[in-house]
Parts: sequence; C-alpha cells; structure tokens
Amino acid sequence: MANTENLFRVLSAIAAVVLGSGGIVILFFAANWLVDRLPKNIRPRVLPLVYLAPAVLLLFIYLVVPSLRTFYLSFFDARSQNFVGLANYLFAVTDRGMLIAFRNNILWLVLVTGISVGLGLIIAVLVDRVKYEPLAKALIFLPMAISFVGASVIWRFIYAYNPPDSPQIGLLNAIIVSLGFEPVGWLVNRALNNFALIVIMIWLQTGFAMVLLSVAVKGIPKDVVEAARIDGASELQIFRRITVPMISSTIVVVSTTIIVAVLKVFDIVFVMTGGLLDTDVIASRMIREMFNFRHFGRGSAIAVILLLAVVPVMLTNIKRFRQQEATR
Amino acid sequence: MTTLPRRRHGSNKFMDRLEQALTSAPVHIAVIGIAVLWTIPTAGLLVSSFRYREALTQTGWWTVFQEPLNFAQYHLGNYVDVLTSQGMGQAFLNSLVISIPATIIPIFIATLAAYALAWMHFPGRQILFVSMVALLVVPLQMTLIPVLRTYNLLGLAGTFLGVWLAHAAYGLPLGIYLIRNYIGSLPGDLIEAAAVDGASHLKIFTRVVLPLSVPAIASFAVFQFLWVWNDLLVALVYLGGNQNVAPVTLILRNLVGDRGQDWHLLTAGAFVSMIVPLLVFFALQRYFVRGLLAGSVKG
Amino acid sequence: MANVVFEQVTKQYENGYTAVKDLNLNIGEDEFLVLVGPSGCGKSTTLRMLAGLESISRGNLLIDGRRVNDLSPRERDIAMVFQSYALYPHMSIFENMAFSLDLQGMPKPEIRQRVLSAAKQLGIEELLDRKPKQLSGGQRQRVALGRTIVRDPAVFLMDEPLSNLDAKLRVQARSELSRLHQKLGTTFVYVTHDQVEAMTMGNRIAVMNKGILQQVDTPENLYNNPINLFVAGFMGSPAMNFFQATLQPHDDGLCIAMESLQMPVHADQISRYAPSKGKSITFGIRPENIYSPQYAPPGINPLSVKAKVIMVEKMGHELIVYLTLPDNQEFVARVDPRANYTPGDVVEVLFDRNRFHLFDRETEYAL
Ligand SMILES: Nc1ncnc2c1ncn2[C@@H]1O[C@H](COP(=O)(O)OP(=O)(O)OP(=O)(O)O)[C@@H](O)[C@H]1O
Ligand SMILES: [Mg+2]
Repeated sequence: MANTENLFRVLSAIAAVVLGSGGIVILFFAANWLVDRLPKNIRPRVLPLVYLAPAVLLLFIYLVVPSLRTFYLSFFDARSQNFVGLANYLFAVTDRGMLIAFRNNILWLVLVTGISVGLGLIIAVLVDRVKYEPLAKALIFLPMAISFVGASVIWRFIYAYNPPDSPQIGLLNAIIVSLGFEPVGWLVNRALNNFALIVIMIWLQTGFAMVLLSVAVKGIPKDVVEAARIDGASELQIFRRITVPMISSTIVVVSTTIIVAVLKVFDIVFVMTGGLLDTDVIASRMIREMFNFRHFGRGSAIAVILLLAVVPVMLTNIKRFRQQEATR
Repeated sequence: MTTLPRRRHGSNKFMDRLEQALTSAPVHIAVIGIAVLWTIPTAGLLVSSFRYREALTQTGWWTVFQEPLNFAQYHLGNYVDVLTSQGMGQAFLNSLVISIPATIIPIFIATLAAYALAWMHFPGRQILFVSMVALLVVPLQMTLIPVLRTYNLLGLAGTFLGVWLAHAAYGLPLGIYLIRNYIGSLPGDLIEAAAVDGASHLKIFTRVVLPLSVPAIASFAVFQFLWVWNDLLVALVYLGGNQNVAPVTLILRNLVGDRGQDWHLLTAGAFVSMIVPLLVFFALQRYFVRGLLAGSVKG
Repeated sequence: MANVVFEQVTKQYENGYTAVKDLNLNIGEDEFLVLVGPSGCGKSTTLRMLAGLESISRGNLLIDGRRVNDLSPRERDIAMVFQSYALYPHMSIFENMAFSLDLQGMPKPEIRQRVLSAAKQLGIEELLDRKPKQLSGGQRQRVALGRTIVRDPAVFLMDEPLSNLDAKLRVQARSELSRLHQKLGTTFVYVTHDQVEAMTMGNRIAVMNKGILQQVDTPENLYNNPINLFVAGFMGSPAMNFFQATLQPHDDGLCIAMESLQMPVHADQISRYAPSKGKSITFGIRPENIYSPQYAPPGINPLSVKAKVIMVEKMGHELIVYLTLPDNQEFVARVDPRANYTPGDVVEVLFDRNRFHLFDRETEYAL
C-alpha cells in the first residue's frame, strides 16, 4: 500500500515537473506557429512580441503592478487611508535611524561590491591555473548553496560573545582570547557590528561573482593571452591590461547584480542583530516599517527610494550596451 | 636577451621544475588560502551538526579537534531527527517539483526575451531591456500582498503553478540580464550567416543561439535553482499552510519550533537540504566551458 | 541564375552617415561581378543590402525582376561567404554545410549526397567530422564556401572571402572560385579591395568610392578607359603616374605642357582633345607604359624623358624604378628586368605616346 502510494507521489511529481516546464515551451511554439500564418508584412512586427510577451507579462503582474501600488501607497499614512503628500519621504530622508541606514548602506555597497567582485575576479583568474579548480570553486561557491537560515547558525558561532571568564564558543573571540586579549562583542560594538555583518555578505556573494567571472575569463581567447605574453607582458600586466578590459562587461554585470543584492539585503541584518545598535540598512528598515511597525506609507516610500538608488547603475548599463551594439 | 646564460643540460630540468613550482606557489597559496577561509564557517556547521545540543552551547565547535577520535562527542541524532521528521520525504519531492519548473520556466522565458532584446530590431528595445533589469531592485516583500490577493481570487494560492510563476517572475530580471549580456556578445556574423542560410528567428534561436549560450544559461540555472530551493518566504506566503505542497525549507522551519527551541536541528537541516543544490552545481559546472566560440570567426 | 538590379539605392545609417548613394547597377544572369574600392567605400554595405542584412533607405532592389527590399534574407534565395567565415562553432563541418538544407526540410539522404559532393569538389571530405576550431584558415575558408555551394542559390555573395589566406592559397583559391563560377553558371557578387582579384576574376568590375559608384565595366575597359582620375588611380599596380599639365596649342595641333616636359598630341587624337584646349589637366601614364630604351618593344611611339633614378625594386620578372623629373615630380616605371639602373643616375626612359590618359583637373573626368 505505502509503496504504491509513494510511487504515485513520485509519478505525480514527475508529471507536474514535465507539465510545468513543458507547458511554457509548447505555448511558445504554438505562438510562433500562429505568427507564421500571419501576413508577411506584419510578421516582423509581431514576432518580437511573441518572444517578449511571456517575460513582459510575468514582470508586469508580479513586479510592475505591485511597484506601482507601492508608489501609490507611499503618499498615504500608516494604514493607507489618508493622503499625506511627501511626509513619508520627508521622514525617510530626515529620520535619524534612516540616516544611519543610509550611511550603513553606503558602507555595505562599497565594501561588499568592491571586495566580492575583486576577490571573485582574482579567484576566477587564479583558479584557472590549478588542477583542483572544480574543488576550489565548489568550496568558495558553497556558501551560496547553504540556506541562509542554516548559515546564520554558524555565523552566530563565529561572532558569539561570552564574558571574559567563561569559555568562548565564538571562533573569533576564542582566537582573540587565546592571544591574550579581551573578548569583543562583534555584533554589539557599534564600531564593529556593521563590518561583522558585511563580512557575511561578502562570504555569500564572492561565490556568485567568481562563477560568472570565471565563465568570462574562460571566454578570453587563448591566443590573445599568448600574444601578450610574447609581447613581454608579465602575468600582472596581462591581468590588468588584457583580462580585466576583455571581461569588463561581465564585471559590470556582476557588480550591478551585487549592488542590487546589497540594496535588497535584510535577512542578514534581521537574523544577526535585528537591526538594532545602528545596524539597520535601508531594506531592513523598510521591512520593519512594513511588517513590524505596520506603517505601509513609510515602508513604501523607502521602497521607492531603493528603486531610485539603482537609477545611476542602470544608466551605466545603458551606456555599456550601446557600446556593445556598436562594436559587435 | 643574448647575454643571459642559457641552461642547456638535462640536470637543470630539476631547477626548472623548482623555479616553476616557486613561481606558481603564490597561486596555490592564494587559492588554497581563500578556499579554506571560505570553508571554515561551513566546516564549523558540519562539525556542529554532529554534536550534542548541550555541547553546542557550552564549548566551541573546534574543541572537538582536541580529541578528534573521541566518537562519544558525535552523534547522528540531529540528522535522524531531520530526516525522520513528519513529511520530510514528501517535502523533498515537493522541493524538487517546485524548483525544477521554477528554474526551467524562467530560463526559457528569459532566453527568449534576451534573444529578442539582443538581435531583433524594434523600437524601444534598449529602454525595455533596462527597465526589465531595473526591476531587480524591487523588494519581493512589496509584491507579496497584492499578488497573494490576486492568487486568492484566482485560486492559485497553495498551488504549484502559483509558486512556479512567482519564482519565474522574481528570477526573470537577473536571467534576462545575464543571458542578454551573453547573447549580445555573440558574433553578429554568426547570426547573419544563419539568416542567410535561410534560418528564421525561431531556427536561429534554437539551432545557433541556444547551443552557444549554454555557459550563461548554466550559470543562471545554478543561481535560480539555489534561490528557489533555499527560498522560504515565497513558499511560506503563496503556499500558506498547505502541508501537501510544502518544501523542505518549510518543514525545517517548523522543526525549529515556534520559539526556536530546536534551532540546533538547523545545522543538520542545512546539510540535508544542501545536497541537491550542490549536485546541481557540480552537474552544471562542466558547462562553464572555455572556447565555445573557438573557430567560428576570426578576430 | 538570376539578375540583380539596383535602382537608385541609397543606404543611410541611423547615425545619419550615407554609406551608399544612388547606386544604379545591373548585374546580369551568371555574371561574376566584382565590387572594388578603398576601405570604407560601401562595398560591404552594398552586399549586405543585397543579402537582406541591412535595410535599404531609398531606391529599389530587384532580383529577377521582383522587388525584394522588404524580404528577409531567407526569402531571397542567396548564399553568402562572410569575410570572417562565420562557421557555427558548435556544429561539425558536415552539420555546418548541411544546416541550410536541413532548414529547407530536404530529406536526409539528399542532404548527405549534396554535402559529400560539395566537399569533394573542395577537397575537404576528410574534414567533415571535425569542428571548425580544428581546421586551418584555408580549410575554414573552403568550408565557408562549401556551405554556400551545397545550396544552389540564385545569387552568390562573397565579402572578401580570400583576405585571410596566405598569398599562395589565395592564388589557388582565386582560380578555384573562377572555375566554380564557370561550372555553376550562377550570378556572383564578389567584394574585394584587392585589384588583382578584381581583374582576374570579374566579368565586370564595379569601382566604388565614398559610397558612389564610379564605373562599371569589363576589366580591360576599366584598365584602358578609366572614366575618371579615381578609377585610373585605383586600378593598376603600381598606380598610374599623374602629372599636372595644361593643354596648349602647338603648331596646328595640341601639346601637353608639363613643367619640365612637352608632349605633342598625336594627330589622330587632336579632334578628341581639341574642345579642352587651354584647360588645366592631369596627365596620366601607367608605369607599364614607360620603357627603358634598350628594351622598348618596336610598336611604341616614344617620347624620350630624362629623369633621375631614386630607387629600384627588383621583382625578378620586372623592375620597378622610381624616378624624378628635374622639377621633382616623381613617377614610377615598370621596365624590363634586364635593364640596368643605379640610384642617383640620370637616365633616359621612353613614354609611350599612344598610351596615356588626360583628365580635366577640375571635374577629374577623363577627357
Ligand atoms: N552600422 C553602421 N553605422 C554607421 N556607419 C556605418 C555602419 N556600418 C558601416 N558604416 C560606415 O559605412 C561606410 C561603409 O562601410 P562598409 O562596411 O560598406 O565599407 P567597405 O567598403 O566594406 O570597407 P572594407 O573594405 O574596409 O570592408 C564606412 O565608412 C563605415 O564607417
Ligand atoms: Mg567590408
């Protein structure tokens, strides 16, 4: 009995997977078939729609509409009943807590993006020359595979603080104490706690950067590197003058993605410090306004500010894509 | 150059080797160093997952290395608790049923869109593309409530379809961004050669662009799969309390208990749920290959 | 087999740059037409408009009398060899060559047979299982060619297909292509900036400059009767020598007067040039129409010129001699290899008075 039931479960799971994945493919081919039946002169105009419609539709329903609603709500009060004009935005740019969140976010942006991308790049280049490349990559990638709930447990064991006379169960403090210093409250000390959180994010994101950059590094034609070597370039010069420029578009993509991830980060802050002791960032503050304080207006206004913060990044991207189109 | 003494004799081979080893030593040190540093937290988690709950809160995990062979300090209890917890088997199935289509659907949709954005000519495609990517920054939490309301109206709440579509939509901006960037850098001559050979957009897409975009697609697949597999929020909101469709993450959360009293089970839980994503990573890693475009066009 | 007609075709790029202007060109059935011109003159643009890869801003493009401006590449029945070859890197050579046939839905056995026969023609049968990256440059070029000939298209387009080959392979490929054209009897449009290729392969040559078609004619006519200064200077290697001159009355005839040289116009040609009497002109003579006195052939109508030798290039089958006139005007002569010239010497050379070209200095058109 139990066996047939299990079999049934597995089969229905497979059926669901096939249906779910196959459905969209079938839809697309059907649409293409239909477009091929259209009069020829309008076909080129309809065809892009077939390719773009699924994406546009999904994005519109799941992301655009809610964003518009957020924008709308940002002009209303906590319960979304009374119009309050720009009051929520005013709050967002004057409140002391918010200002600290902005400061922290800038810190996060600079450190996480800079270090993750930089390290990811260095690893991607170095790992290309060692035999144990798959293993090394997998280890650095590992943090991405751990669910953050799991990872939070171990980072607590790294940052844990006990008073000086009791045994330390936090790795960092254990090291410090064994060297003869006083234990440090990594997550409590206002001068350190933000950096402690940032380290976690770097740990998580470097694997991401490495995977993408490594694909790009491997895409550089061998003869270009060989030509540079024959021209007398040292390995460092090859890295700076050949590798980096040739994968610059991937570097921009990875940086953009990580910048966005940093702008959206809140779980690390939530789980580790709860946003207390000046560790809030914009996104965690937004979540707290929304779901803890139930102030939809403020939460929405902060969300809109997040969206605005990404505009300069996107402008850089537009510029780069223009270049790409011009040179291919 | 000519004044440099040349080594000619076989006996100097050893010196060459040594020199090579010395120059490559920094590379090995750096790679191994970073890899080890990156692994310490995970190693700690692994060790902790075999320790007793009381030990966890009293001594650091590294203390097991004082007597690493003292097996009394280890036990499999955490794993047993996790694996035998109510509905774990079904949850694994559910996680797969959720993650596979929630990875394939956005890959397909994003690749289609990326192709159109990179190689079809229509007005406003730059703007469209950048707007799509800008949506990366929309916080999920903002979308949960309005989408859930719609789901309740349409009866999609608590269904796989609802979760697939939601994950697909949330993954699309990154997918379109990564894949468009890659497809856009394919040599234009190749696409044009296919067009002259008589290929329609559909054929160019399926026969030329898709096979050549495998590295980008594989990397996006890894990220999307990981994200969906490890997701708790979307599952929690859109699946609600429907235990029949609950993924591993939900079961793990319930295991911890309402007051978090059994948090130590997360150590084992993290490794149990990490197996599948790692398999996916290793399976797809061989597609992150060198020189897919070699030999197609010169210069 | 198809004829191709460009009617007032203009291409303006989005940035406003006009790459091809008012092109009128009629390419006959089974003609081998070569498009030449300096870099950036619009050759590739013209070819790409014909292929359907570039939209046409103004004018009509007809293939076999049918207006194809708005047809996509695959509806035009054309095949193209790209300068970069553009082989599909993920497909084997066989698959590369079979791709277009497969897209047409041709049955597998027939595809196989066609690919094999094309491969045999090009001598690449043993390569069919390889991937493009495992081939040498010359082999890739053959595959790119093979990919087009399996199709039997109405028009073959080739954009500098030989420019990546070494000199020897290039000569060989040149004659192979010509033979191929004779055998297939299909319309070829061939872009190059190598004028040897143009002269040896083309039934007719179209010379372009700065987006404007200068002259279309057979290689001989283009060489013998260039329509303007540009064509005269472009065709031929080394290029034609030009001297500033005026057309002056001389006795009852005409005389081409240069600073340190006078050359009476032959009686037969006086009527041709009489209307331009008194004009500022450019006098042109090809290096191969300048001879060393000992080895001059009997039939020429010589004008003796004294000049100083600057440099001599020994090509084996000829000498290229760089000389100057007393007024420092430089010119080049291609003379018999047995002639003996030493730099610094002042020597006598003979201009063939039957073989020169005169151009209006203002309009640059041939007189
Ligand atoms: N996409 C474009 N946008 C704007 N200008 C272009 C574009 N493509 C080509 N051009 C310009 O049009 C002119 C003609 O280009 P084309 O490629 O036809 O030259 P070509 O004769 O083939 O030269 P070459 O012998 O170097 O290949 C050039 O000046 C070029 O800069
Ligand atoms: Mg060109």
